[in-house]
Amino acid sequence: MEREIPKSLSVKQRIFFYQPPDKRTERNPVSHRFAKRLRPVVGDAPAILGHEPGEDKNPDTDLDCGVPSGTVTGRGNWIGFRHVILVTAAPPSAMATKIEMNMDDSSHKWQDSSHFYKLSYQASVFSPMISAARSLESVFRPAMNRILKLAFLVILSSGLQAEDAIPPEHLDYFESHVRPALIKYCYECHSVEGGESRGGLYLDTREGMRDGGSSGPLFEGEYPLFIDAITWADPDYEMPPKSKMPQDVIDKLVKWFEMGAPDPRVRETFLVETEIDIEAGKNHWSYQKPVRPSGKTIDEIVEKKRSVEGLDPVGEADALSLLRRLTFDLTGLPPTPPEVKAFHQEFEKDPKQAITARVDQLLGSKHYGERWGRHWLDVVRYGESSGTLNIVYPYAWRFRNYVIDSFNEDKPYDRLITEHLAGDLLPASSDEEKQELLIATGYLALGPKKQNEKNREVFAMNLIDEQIDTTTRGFMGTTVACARCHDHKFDPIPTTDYYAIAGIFKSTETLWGTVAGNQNHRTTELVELPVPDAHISSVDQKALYAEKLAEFEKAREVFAAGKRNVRPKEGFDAKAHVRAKQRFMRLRDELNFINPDGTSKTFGMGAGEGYAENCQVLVTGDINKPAQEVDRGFLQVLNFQGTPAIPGDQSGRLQLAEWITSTNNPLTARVMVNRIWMHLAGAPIVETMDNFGTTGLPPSNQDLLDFLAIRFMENGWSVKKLVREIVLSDTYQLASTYDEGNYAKDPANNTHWRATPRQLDAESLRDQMLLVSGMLDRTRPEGSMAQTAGDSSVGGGRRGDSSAQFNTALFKGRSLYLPILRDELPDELGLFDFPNPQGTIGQRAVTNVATQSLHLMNSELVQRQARAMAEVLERNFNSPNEQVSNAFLLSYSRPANSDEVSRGLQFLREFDPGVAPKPEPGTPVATRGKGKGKGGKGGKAGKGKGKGRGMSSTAEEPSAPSALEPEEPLTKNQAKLAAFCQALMMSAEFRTIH
Amino acid sequence: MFQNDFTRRSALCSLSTGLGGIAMSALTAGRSQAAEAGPLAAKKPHFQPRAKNVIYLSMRGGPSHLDTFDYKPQLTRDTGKNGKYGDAKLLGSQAEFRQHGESGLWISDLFPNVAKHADDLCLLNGMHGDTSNHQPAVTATHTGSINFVRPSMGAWALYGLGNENTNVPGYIVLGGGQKGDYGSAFLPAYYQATMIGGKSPVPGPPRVPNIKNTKMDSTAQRTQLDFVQWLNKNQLKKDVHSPQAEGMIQSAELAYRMQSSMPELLNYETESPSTLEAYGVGETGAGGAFGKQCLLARRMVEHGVRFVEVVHGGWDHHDDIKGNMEKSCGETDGAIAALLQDLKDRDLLKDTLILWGGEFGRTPQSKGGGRGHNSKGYTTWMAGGGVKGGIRYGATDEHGYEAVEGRMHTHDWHATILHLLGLDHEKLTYRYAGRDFRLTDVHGSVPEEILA
Repeated sequence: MEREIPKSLSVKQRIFFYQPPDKRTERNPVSHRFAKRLRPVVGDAPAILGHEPGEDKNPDTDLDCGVPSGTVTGRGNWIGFRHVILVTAAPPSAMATKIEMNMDDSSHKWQDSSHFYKLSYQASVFSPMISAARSLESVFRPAMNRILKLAFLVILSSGLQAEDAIPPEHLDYFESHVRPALIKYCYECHSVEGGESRGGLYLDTREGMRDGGSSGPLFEGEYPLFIDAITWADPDYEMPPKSKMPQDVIDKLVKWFEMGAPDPRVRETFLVETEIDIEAGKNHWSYQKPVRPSGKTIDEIVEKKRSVEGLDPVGEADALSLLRRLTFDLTGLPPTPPEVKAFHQEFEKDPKQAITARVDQLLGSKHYGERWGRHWLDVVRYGESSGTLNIVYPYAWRFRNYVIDSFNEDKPYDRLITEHLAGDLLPASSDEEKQELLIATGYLALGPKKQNEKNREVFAMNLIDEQIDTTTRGFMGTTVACARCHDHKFDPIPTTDYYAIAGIFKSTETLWGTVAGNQNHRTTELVELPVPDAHISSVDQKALYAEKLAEFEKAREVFAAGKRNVRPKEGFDAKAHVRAKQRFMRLRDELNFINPDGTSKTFGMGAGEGYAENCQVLVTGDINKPAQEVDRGFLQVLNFQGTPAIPGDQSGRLQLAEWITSTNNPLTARVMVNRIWMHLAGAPIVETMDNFGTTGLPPSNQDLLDFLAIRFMENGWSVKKLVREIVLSDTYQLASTYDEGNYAKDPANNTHWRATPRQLDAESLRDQMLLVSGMLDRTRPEGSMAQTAGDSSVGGGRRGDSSAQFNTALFKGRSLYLPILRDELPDELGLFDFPNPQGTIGQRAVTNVATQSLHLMNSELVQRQARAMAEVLERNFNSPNEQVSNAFLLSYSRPANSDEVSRGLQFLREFDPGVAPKPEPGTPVATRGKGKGKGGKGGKAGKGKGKGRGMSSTAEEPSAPSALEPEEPLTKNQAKLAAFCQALMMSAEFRTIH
Repeated sequence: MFQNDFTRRSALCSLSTGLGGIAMSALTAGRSQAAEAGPLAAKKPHFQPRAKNVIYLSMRGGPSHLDTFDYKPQLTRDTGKNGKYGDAKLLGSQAEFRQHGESGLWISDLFPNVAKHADDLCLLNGMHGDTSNHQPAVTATHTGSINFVRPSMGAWALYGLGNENTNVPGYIVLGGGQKGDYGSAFLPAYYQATMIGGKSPVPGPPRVPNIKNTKMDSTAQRTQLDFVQWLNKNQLKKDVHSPQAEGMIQSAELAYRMQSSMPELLNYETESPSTLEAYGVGETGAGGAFGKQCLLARRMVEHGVRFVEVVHGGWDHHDDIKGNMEKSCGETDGAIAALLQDLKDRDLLKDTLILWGGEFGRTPQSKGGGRGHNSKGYTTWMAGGGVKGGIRYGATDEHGYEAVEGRMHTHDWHATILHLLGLDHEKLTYRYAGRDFRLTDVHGSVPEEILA
């Protein structure tokens, strides 16, 4: 059967295994199928291969393949071992895809890509196989570091018809017997016309039939899938599935196959060309390098523009306004009363010194990274669920923490981007560093996904599109994704450039995990991380493992028994079988989280190298219309000096990062300094923050933009240094005072005649409430509340919104640690303009709607904070007068004036809570309106069970039923004081940075 | 025009009393107070309006005009031929068209119930826009601008006319979408939309979060709010032009009033069983959810909400145009017909302008069994509120690709909507950054032919 491997086949060709004709009698058809096929390659070596879940033994090796004792089972990771691996495949639905091996690894990991287990064996097992494989030189590609990538190519069987010459009688035969049969029996599920390509298979073109779908080619091998399927010889591929074709039709199709499957239905070929004049496109301002302006400081440059416009700046901000502004801007929190007092004293002595010292202190605070890391998380569309089906990403939080830490340690911005795109490819000197670099690539994995997409290729291209869009808009303010279906309509970006970048991501394995089922067709492995989580590594789970293993064995038995019964017979309970399967799969997943020695495994989202290959241009983005292949690369309009070349055997992510972060790249630094400026000055210099192209707006002050960009790069891409430089400028420290003349000329404050008053964002508003109420827990929680939902879907009204589901009103950590679930943001975020993370968000909307006021008036969260703040005041101050003054100081970071105190006292006298029912002692008042608030718990106890274990005690607290925390009824005075505190929280000054 | 007095507070004081133990329901009480001052109170239009309220049935994704409201027999005849619009083959209408009503308007069988109201429909067959990408096109249909942050047409309507009921929001969006499309941009913040009920279908009346205070009664709450507003007014004294502070003041007042009005407004369960059935409220899935939204829209305009937008997604049919259109049309046909009938029965249709349409239409050529995006020619329709019924205005070419006569750009559509509300789109301006801004920028014309 073997024959020479044609040169034109590439390494991405697959390995296929076919079943012997007597397979129905085989106990273990799938692994047998595997073995059969491998034998010619490996000689008599034992073939140890993955096989179907539910099967017991590999007959060739007598090894237990399900959960082999003493070997590692895992929902594994190929990233950590990126040079290793891996096989493949599988269960009936998927065939082997590719094999790579790392010669210097002591063990080899066989990994099943569509189900989550892998087997480890000693290298010796493989040596005969390797030597056999060596003899097939053409399938070997020696690569770096003694790595061998093997691609076992098989073997086109029955000679396919040469493409061009189809004898007329064959053509005739095809038209009269084959085409009608295909249309009648197959097109509904496998054609463009039918609108479906189940199993990724199209049967309406010759190429479609030849290439096959996700189960491999149809015509190859000793037992071609095509014949097996139409003759119903293989229980896993009975086509059409509902009823067999009439025998005479089958006979005709078989005969056609024996003729060599002559097929005139040639797929159209396309060549995509562009009419864009790239050279002319380079003239756009943002594609030219920043030019150093004549001004030497921010203030000089701002003043130049301001005086041209004829505006005079208002004076500088008073000490306490400035302190409040600085503290919010650098840490996302207001200053505490002691901080206010201390600063006030220092400011009296030496204003400049006081400000500088305070700024440096704030920049050194761990809260700095929380504030600026959160800004960055908007750009990289951080979310903890997938959107659409909305399946939770239980490990996304690792990326969140990584970002916070990176900003705290002031990781250079060019390094940050490089880690995001290619952390897995960077050298690491310790497990901890390796861990960090792997987590960084979570950037590529945590975007929104439509996992109900059945077509693998469509999904893959959509994923790539999402990665391109976030990367190019987020890092470079360039809307490359517009060029997916056609040349960019406005910018000099031909569609071939899009596919040049697409090739980079196509050569990348993105690993987001999630569990199959419930419409989720698109799952992957996760990244196994080298360092266990501190909060769970100490727990010995040996007993748990044994218990689960026993349960698993039992479940497998039940499932396997049902499986042998696949043909629906009488008495076959299909539902029970599905339940058994789910139980089996769930237990297997759970086992995958524990090592047999009782230690926990650690997983994250991320990416690794895939097969390095170019992408074909897709006409109008349609996967059925592939045009020419384009080399992996970058945008032609930004082909500046030092643009790296992508080696043929690498994806190009490292080079993509190099290109983006080159100091010759005119966009990257500008886009980032524009973001930084916006967060500090209230408005960006380029209003269209994520679009610096021709349809974007020009900078309101290009000198300023370029100055900041050049400073940023000169200072080693240090975000902290740039932030420091800005906040120490006179421009930043202006008062926010209104001025009629200036306002008439420049209401948007483009010239910075004052500091722009800004409405607090959702996080700062909530954090401030918790801070003034004394409830704020400043420590970072372990993990995330989102984990408590396990691997399930969230939202969709099934369990109420996520505030209720996770009972977030009881959460005391900072707001950025709330669960960030797509389409299901907690009210305290979603109502206050926190963006739904569907893509890069440069600037959030600032709205002011009644639903926000309702939240401030009536929500559990705000009422709790008001009450707690009242308790603090009552505990610490005796007289109403002191209570009122200190409430103002807490809330506004400034002392109250006498009017305010007397009006406050008047309120305390007047206010009467009225007829609100006093709760009976012990009644769980706190759960009012949150009746369904146990969703988080329910999720944990339900299908997501195993995954919730990574959750910490801190994160668990908030999802505890709030009945545990019944509210004591308030005295009348307490109620007055609480209403007073709430009023302050509702007020405009509380919600504004001046 | 319509310079707002930012510092005027009289409305606050007048509204701050009398809502405690009132006999009138909060919903109807808001009507009578509308005569009072305040930026959201009802204002006089420029000229006699033909419609008072708008219900915009916003069909997201770009519904195919070729299979619904734009009859193209030549396209059907040319099915399978090469179109002149690219490499894909032409695909005829995937539903039969028939003439309906006395007017004999051609409407396809995909909208059998809407077709019964053919004589009320004004089909705008010559619509066109500037972009065939979803999000920018949705933004353009709302704000008139693709790239810039501009006020939404609902916000403009509210700015121009105020609300007829001060106890409910004047601009309500039922369903999801991006906030920016419903925003007020440089207009004062209180003109932006209030979004109710996200995309998740929840059984029963939609919930406005936190609508009830469990800790104090409404008198106590009023006392508290008066104190808040006292603080806010001090704030405004410091920063005279603070849209944020101004917005907070207004939205807090509205929120306070909504506590009593909204539950009543949203509680459609008081409607008769036959009404509920007509709208298909009890049906499961997207159809039932849409029916509920249509019914709520009627309740809202009945109670004086100026501008209601109902969002229905899922019209982006790149594959199986036939099956998908049957699904999407099936989800909406009954409820839209019920809405038209219900408004007629209540004599509200004459004052209510119904808008139906997507952000663009679809291509006559087909790939993958579906149709592509097409902003060069598509159809929307209007009904009620002073438009001629039973007519079609404008036309696309023989294949329905490009608008060729009676061309109506998004700007013209906006101008027409404002005109029907009694507003001159050239006079409805807002001065910002030294310039007078309009919904229609420097464009827009109103086709007299369609005015009743």
